[in-house]
Amino acid sequence: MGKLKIRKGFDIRIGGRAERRTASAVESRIVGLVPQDFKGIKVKLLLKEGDEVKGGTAVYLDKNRPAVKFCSPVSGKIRSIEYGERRSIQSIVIESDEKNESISYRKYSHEALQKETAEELKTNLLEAGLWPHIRQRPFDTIADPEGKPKSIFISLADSSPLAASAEYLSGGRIDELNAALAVLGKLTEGRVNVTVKSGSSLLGELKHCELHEVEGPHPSGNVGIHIHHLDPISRGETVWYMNIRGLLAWGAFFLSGVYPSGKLMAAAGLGIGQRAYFPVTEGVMLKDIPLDAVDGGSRWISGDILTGRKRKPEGYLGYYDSLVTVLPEKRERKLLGWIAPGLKSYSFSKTFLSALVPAKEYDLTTAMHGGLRSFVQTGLFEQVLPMDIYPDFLIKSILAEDIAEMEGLGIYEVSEEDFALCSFVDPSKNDICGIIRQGLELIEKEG
Amino acid sequence: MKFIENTLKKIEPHVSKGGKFHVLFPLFEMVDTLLLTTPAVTLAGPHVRDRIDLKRLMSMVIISLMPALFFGAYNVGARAMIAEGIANPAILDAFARGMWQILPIIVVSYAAGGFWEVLFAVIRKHEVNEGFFVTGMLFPLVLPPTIPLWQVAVGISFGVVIGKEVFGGTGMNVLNPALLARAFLFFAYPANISGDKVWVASDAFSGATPLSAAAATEAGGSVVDSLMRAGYSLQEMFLGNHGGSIGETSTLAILIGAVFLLLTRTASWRVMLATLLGTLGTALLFNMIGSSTNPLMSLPPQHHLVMGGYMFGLVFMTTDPVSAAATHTGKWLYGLLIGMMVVLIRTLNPAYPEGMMLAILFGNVFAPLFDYYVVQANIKRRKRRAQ
Repeated sequence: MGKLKIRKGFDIRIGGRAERRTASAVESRIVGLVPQDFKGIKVKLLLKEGDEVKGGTAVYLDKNRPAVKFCSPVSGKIRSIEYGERRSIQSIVIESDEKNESISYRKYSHEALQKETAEELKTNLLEAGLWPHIRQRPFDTIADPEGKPKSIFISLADSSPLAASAEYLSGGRIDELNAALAVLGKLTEGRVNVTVKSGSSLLGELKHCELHEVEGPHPSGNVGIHIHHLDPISRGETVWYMNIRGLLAWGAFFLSGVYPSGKLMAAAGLGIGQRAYFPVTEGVMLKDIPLDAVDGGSRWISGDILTGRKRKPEGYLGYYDSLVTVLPEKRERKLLGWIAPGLKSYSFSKTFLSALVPAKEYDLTTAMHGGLRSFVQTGLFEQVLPMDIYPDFLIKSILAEDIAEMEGLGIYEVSEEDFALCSFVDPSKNDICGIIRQGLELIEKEG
Repeated sequence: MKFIENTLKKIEPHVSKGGKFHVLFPLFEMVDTLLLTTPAVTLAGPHVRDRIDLKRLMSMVIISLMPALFFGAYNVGARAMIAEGIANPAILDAFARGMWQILPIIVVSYAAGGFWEVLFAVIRKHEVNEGFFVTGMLFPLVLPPTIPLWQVAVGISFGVVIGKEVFGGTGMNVLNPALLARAFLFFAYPANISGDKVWVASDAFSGATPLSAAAATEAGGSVVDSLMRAGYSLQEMFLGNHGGSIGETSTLAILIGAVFLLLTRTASWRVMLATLLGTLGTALLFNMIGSSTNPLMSLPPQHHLVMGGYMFGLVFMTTDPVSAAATHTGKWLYGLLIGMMVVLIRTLNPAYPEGMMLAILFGNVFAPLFDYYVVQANIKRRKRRAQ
């Protein structure tokens, strides 16, 4: 067991954490599959409106890798397919018949799992639509089933603001976690690295893996930071990674032989009254969860406030997400804000009086707090990026589309989520995450 | 406040896209966001943002310049009144007299510089960058109080256009625009920015500054003695009750600003410390070497810190994040280089008693090179790992 101590970073002290209690299960008549949850896939629909599905029936696949399928979590029928701009598929809406019928797959015991071949395990996962849970770095795409990762990383130490606790989400399902870890061990010749928060209750429980304790401010829980420090990626190498949701889904699938449609998620943020953990169905419509939203103008996010995606209340919970955050959204204007003392203004910098008398938590909204300006090297980015990478120079090389320079400066080691705090602290209000994604897409295409 | 908000709302359609005056949008945006905070919300993740923006960051620098500005106003007034025979001018009288002298300089600096800034923003269709509010204030403070106003306009125009906009605007410039503007005036119109006649705003007066007094020391003489003879004790120079550039004379007032910059973490302590160490080290080295022909070699290190534009340059000019080095190692090298160069120029090239301005510009030119080597080392480290 190793220890990883992260010094640089920043914990945003936003109010509205989910209480550690589980509310009653949410019944969903409607669930949605959202292809945009997955980076770089080309959707090919396998079914049409009105078709019947069971839990685990393939609904669409990735044209680039037809083996990778995406399945319905519930039994029922396809109610509608919603299109967005340029006929891209926004969501596939499935109406549940509430019978919960599921396609049966082979059920394994722990011993059987250990003896099974990697090929057979992969085939099961691909068929049941559970393969997308495993992703790869660089690029954050779904792992190539034919690929050979040099190692696999699982972060159970989510440090993002208002994050759901991995310990609470796993809720004693240690058997399932260990089953999934045993499967992962078969998929790589390298190590399976699992990171937990220091002092975690999971410490003594997990098998088939290399455990690391991490401590420090966000992004200390980001898998990218762990990879960077424990097994950095060079050109041509890939590392696979998975989160707590994937681990639990895989474990449940192999031990039960059916598609694991249920999941536990946390609801957080000051835009709602009910901040707790909710048992939901995968792809649940957000407004079906009894969150007790405050009136009007709220921002609904599937995921956390740094990297989550904006959704309408009629939108669906993301495939990878175990958190919904709802924030107040106001478009207020204040007089001479740039010179105000700022007792209640929250900032990483020390330019407001709040630096002298900090509050425990702040009511943060979606306000931008400033206009877009040209890029100035303030040195702030370096203070929130715990990597041996020069963020300003990497960003400049991306803007200049200088591929050799991007490679040299470590583009393969980064993901936009690791730069979310850079976007947060930037006084010029640039979209740093967007720039990083742009760089990754350029490299993926031409590198 | 509602009134302001409503008025701005009424104007906005006319300057927005499709409006009759849409070329003036950058000007509108500047005034609009100066008065009221922007109502914009985030579009995607991160959904929350830090309260800081460039306006806030730049206003921290402006606030830190206030002690130097206020003391400068008092000092300019007091010097002039004393030269005219008023032995002990009242503080407020002196302040008013000084403001009368320097306010036009500041106004011209902002007006002329602001004109170019807005013009380029309009042509390039981007927002007006707040960095200019700092440049527009730094520039007057490094000028003598007697500077002709047309030179202020010409100088700041050169600084903004040649120093910044031709490089691509804010964030892209190599040299500090305010310092470049001063250097331009220094070489183009030396009579108005050097010598013994320009430092006190009174026609009747002529007197050496500490730097020219030190440079005038005869071979074999003691430079500290000749400073004392001119009335410049170490304490006197630290407090700054003497003629000089408007904001540069009082080390004390500048240091108050420095404390503010460091507490708010607006300026880099690494750059400040490195510059200081570079100066102290080089001056000590020169003291040890000594010289029978160049008395400046024996000027004690602490004197360097309080003379001329040294402290003003160290606190406000070297720390400009755009023209300084960006990497930590780069910042150390950049500061050390400036610290060494200033002593080198002052001691070995008496033609330019004010070494700080040139030393910083020299450092600005080298800053990208330092960063280049630091970044290359990072790239090499990554390549070695891949093998």
